[in-house]
Amino acid sequence: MSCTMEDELTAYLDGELSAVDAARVRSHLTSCSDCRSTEALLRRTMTQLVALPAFEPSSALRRRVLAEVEALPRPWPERMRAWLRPSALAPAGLVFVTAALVAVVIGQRSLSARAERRTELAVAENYELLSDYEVVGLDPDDLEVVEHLDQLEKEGRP
Amino acid sequence: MLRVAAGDTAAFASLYDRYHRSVARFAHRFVQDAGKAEELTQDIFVKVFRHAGRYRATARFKTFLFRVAANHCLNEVRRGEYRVTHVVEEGEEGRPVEMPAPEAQSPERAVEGRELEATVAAALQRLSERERVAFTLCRFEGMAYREIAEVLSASEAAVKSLIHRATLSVARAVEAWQAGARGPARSEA
Repeated sequence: MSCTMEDELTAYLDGELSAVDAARVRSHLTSCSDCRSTEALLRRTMTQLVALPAFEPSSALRRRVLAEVEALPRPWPERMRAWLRPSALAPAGLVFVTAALVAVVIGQRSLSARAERRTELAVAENYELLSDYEVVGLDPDDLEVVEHLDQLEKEGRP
Repeated sequence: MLRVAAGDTAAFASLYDRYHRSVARFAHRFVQDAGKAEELTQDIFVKVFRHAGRYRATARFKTFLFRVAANHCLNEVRRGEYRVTHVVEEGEEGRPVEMPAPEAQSPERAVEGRELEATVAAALQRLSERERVAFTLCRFEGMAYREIAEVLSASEAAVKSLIHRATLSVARAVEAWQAGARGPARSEA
């Protein structure tokens, strides 16, 4: 058989032809018994296919799919958002502030330790002088007084 | 879908809930086995999640989804990972179930329904891969020729031809089964 119009029959039944082409097929069917027979067979089969049982996946499949997806490495945008969440930012901020405070305290201690070292150095350098005057343990101001004692004594004289 | 691309699993769960039956049915038409169809469905959805960034909003999501599904099913079947069987599983708790059609209430209708299902399944296996994809999407998922053309990266004219050949082939197989199954019964009665 095989009429040239046969190729249009499935699309005709599926409503996929333009109005003009559908009208042409309709007109053809009135005069072609082969196409009428094929069209009836196609129509019958389509109806039967609609009535076939549909496969229904199990509820366990959802759990498996979501578990596998959860286990995948997160994409970058998601990771960035996780980092910028307040619950993640608050502890990070606390750590930063604490670290800054610790740095300031350590810095101050280091400065005072350096000043102490300078004093000790001055004492060492002027040990002989200090020993002479038995003033070991005086602070730098006292050392200055000791160094200029002669002048002070002159100025202090009546 | 943009949220899924950004890794939003809640948005992905919504997509899954909406489309998993369609994908599972599609996969089942390929492998005719409930367990294997579920494996394929799982793989397909994980692929969709991983490659969500490739989705372009200009395409319908369903088209994108079935493009992934069709490619995955064809690749797996070609690799021989999934040998086609024609076993209809007995329903158990937590296991996939073949839902009976409303018409198949009586035992005779149930048997007839299973035989028709097996006939269609066998006819599908004789189709070319592209015919099978086009036929399944058209007949069981109700997709338009234009959408199927997008899934297959083909012209609408090509899809029209694929669907016609496939439908006619299945129709002839069903006709032959009916002639064999019902013919003698009628003559006996």
